[in-house]
Amino acid sequence: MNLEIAIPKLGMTMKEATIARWNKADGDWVEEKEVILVIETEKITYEIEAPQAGYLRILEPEGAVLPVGAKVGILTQEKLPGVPISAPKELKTDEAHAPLAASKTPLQAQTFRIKASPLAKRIAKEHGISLDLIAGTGPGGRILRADVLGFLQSQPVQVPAGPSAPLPQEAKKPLQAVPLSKMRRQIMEHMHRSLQETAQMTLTREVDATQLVRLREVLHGRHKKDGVKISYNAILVKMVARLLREHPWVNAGLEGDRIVQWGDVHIGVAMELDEGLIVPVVRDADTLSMLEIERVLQGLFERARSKKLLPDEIRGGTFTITNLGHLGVDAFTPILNRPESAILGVGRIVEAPVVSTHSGEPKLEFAKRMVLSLTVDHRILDGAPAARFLGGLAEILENPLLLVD
Amino acid sequence: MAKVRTDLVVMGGGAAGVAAAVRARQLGARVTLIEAEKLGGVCMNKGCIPTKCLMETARLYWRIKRAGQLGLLIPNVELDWNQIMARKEDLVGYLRMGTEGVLKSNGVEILKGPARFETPHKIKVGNELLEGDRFLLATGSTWAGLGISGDTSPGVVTTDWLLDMRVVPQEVLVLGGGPVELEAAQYLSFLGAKVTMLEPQARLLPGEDREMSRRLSAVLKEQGLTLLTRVKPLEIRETERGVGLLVQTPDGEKNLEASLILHAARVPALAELHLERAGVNLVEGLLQMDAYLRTNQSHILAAGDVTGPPFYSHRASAMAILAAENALGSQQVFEQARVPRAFFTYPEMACVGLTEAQAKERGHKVRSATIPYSVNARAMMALETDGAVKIISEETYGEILGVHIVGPHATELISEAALAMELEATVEELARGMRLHPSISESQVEAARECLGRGIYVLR
Repeated sequence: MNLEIAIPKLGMTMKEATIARWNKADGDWVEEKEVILVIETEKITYEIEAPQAGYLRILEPEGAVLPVGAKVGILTQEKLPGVPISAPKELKTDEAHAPLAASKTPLQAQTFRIKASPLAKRIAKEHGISLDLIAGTGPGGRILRADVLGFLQSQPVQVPAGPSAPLPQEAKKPLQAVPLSKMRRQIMEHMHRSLQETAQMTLTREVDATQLVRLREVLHGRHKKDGVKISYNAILVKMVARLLREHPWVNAGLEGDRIVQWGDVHIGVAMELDEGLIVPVVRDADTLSMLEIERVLQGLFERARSKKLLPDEIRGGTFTITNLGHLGVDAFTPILNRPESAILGVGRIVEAPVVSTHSGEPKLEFAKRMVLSLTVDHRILDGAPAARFLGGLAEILENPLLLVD
Repeated sequence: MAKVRTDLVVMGGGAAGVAAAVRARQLGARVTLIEAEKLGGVCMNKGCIPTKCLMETARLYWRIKRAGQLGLLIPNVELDWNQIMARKEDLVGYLRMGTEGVLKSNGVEILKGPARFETPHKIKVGNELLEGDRFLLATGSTWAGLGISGDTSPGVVTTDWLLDMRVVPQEVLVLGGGPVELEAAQYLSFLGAKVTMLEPQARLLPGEDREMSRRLSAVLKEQGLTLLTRVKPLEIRETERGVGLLVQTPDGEKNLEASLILHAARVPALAELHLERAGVNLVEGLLQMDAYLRTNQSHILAAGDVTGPPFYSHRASAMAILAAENALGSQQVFEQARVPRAFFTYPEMACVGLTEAQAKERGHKVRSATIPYSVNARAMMALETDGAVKIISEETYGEILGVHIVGPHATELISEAALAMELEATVEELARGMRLHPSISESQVEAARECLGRGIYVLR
């Protein structure tokens, strides 16, 4: 049986996706569950597996921007003759016909067409680049002059020198120049916009992490039987979620000319992927146990790694935690995850000398110390309430028993 | 004090406001449009519509008096001012009624009265307080003073005065050389006034292509207009004959005299809006705006004349449609560079894109070609051979950088060029296009061919 492969709908608001990469060539045999295709939406990349084994017929090239439901390929049981999509350029840029044998019906012509303006075609031709490498931004995905010029700029090495004129030497030779992926572009815009549109202020506070380390050890022992190792992130999510209910003005954001205090506590946790940063969200974190939070985090992390996160899983956060402690960072200035008004940066835990006054006399002791870095949007939240929130967090961290208060 | 809430408040019911309101309704928004005066704005009530209607009469009057060459002997051509004015009033009234019908049938709520901001999300219309999620400023433009002494004397008028003119003044000084001033000067001249145009720069239409502005000014001079360049008005005073104007010329100060001084200086109508209460910033008297037509308050957008020059109605409505879409969630850039420019003179002039000098300044390798209408058969038949079509292209890829037309139907013909540029056609596509014969548009294809060095009807 022949089976069509289409762009899946991965979230409520998803309308289109870009074909980032075909892992298999046209005409290849693929096994069931093999990853054949990677697509990108505005926010995530997602791998599509073969729903059955068969020969792959590719219908849309890499770089194509397609609506949800668009047919991108077909898996057939018999190897088909025909012109693959990676046929010579002359054919591709115009029209190529690939006869397709359905199981019963006779041959059917399949038309490929890349929409591009005459000027874009001309510039691409002059530079010897294939239009199917380029994503179009014009109406209906039409490739425009700006798209071709943008693509040319992103290319590290020019196409093998043909009869065209030699290019001027650049002052700095690039080792590698990687075209912006959708994810990189998204991060770029998001971060830049955040700094442009808000008034960010970062408060830092050193805390005693002795009790935090102990708590984690206790939890490790307790949940050994569940096969789960509770992470510092899970503990911090739990503590922050608890505290946010007492500090609703930190669990807030700007919507139009109103500051909205959100009734739900959804905590985003920054994660690092090969392609860049992603912030999946632990929804209703204030209602979950430590064990539940850890399980949610692990599920999100695995899905992020395997590109199976749904768009709705990285949306709707009310507060974000970003932890660089495992990479040896003490304090830093996290950038707000708009429209949220606060983000907590977590530093490493170090053994450090501190002056203790517990016994009345000042005494030098060793303790486990950690720095918390809280960035807030000063338009929404002033220094004093932000400091109070940070103080509250320090209090719980240093005395986790308060969690039962 | 009633309080109403709406998705998009459109402030102004001119070309921009009407287009934005209807587009926003199509996208499902609740829309309230506020107009202080008459629906249709300057374009419909005082600008494009009535002036072009009057110009049509003047142009024919002038042509019929010269129809002998066509073999027509018409002895007494007379102006019937009652009919001229009645026709204009009817047209304006009819179009205004149509506008109101379009707004109402699309479900746009219309409020009358001047609107002003109270807070970033609240405005007051009369005594009514209106709350909106998003706002579109579309209040248009208004007359500006000349900024010299005596500019309020009764002998100084704007084009509004022409709308009720039934007696043609003997001598008129027209200040400034924009499209509106040019059209007014020619209107008066066609009807028999002795008109002198005063341009402060070195040539007429200094922003347009040198070759084409020279072509147009040559025709205007031939028709009887006097053009004075490098002339700066200094002072106006009343005299026995009407008004006197002291001007600065390269040869020193001079006194000019006429029955009237006409000008058409406009500024965005921002003063009444109380923008400071909405937190909207101005930069050098103009709204601070981004490429998405948003002000610094991202829920307040603006379109049309209120955003500053060029003051064209087609620009206003195109901006407004895009602004309405952006207000309701899309994010599109308005391409100012693609706004075609129009001069409803006779012959007409219309342009889109860069002039030759601008293209060279930007470092393009330029190939341009001019085909005069004196070799176009259709233009010869019509005795309208004054003018030419000029295409400015980029050599490497054949990109069309600018198209400039002086001649019959230039304001219609420019649309082909605007579309070609919008779709990124190159001179190659334009050159291959087939046009009807005999037609004016053939010259456009020939100019494209000549950009590629292969014009067919060019003497070598």
